Amino acid sequence: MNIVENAARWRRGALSLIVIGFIVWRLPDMTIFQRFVSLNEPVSTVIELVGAIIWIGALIALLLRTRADRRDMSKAEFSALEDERVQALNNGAFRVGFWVMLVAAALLSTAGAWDWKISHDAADIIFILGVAVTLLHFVMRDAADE
Amino acid sequence: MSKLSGLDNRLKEARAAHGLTQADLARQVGVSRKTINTVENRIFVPSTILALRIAQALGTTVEDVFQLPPEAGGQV
Repeated sequence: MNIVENAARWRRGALSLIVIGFIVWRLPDMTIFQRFVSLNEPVSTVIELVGAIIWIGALIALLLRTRADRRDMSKAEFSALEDERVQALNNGAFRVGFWVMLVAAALLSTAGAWDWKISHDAADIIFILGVAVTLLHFVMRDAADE
Repeated sequence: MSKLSGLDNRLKEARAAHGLTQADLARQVGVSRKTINTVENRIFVPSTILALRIAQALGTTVEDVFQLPPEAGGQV
């Protein structure tokens, strides 16, 4: 496997970790989650903390690796890592994430009319869906292009 | 990018005729091997600039490498 594909695979791994960390960080704090799983305060705080550490750690690792790649790779290799197929995948992922957020907002505002607890979590749900769907869409499409 | 694009191509044949691998061609035109692979398999439609670079690297013209499919008005 060449250096560009290796870096792309590493990036997909880091993005997946960012999604996992983000979900683990935000989920225990949501009212709707606490309805299904009863976690006492210290446990949920520890889970949130672990999620936040995974999220921030993966984000910092991704930024540092990108800087290192820019320094160590040739200009052609680095631009191949962000070539037009990757940019098209980025655009597609943002488009899908945007529509998922819009649909989620519409559904949650409707559901919130019956259950106030849903509206209490609406912002979090829309935010989590927007981040997770956008990043996972990119990761899966990039991995599938073979 | 799983849907097939509306752009036929003879990239695989042209590349093979020059004895180039996907990685070789990718290096010459400044993209990843996956991008060349997805263009060859009609998954990704390259920009005009990339199509011109590919044709240039293969010593041919864009029309020789890329064609509109017959149903889109291309020549059979």
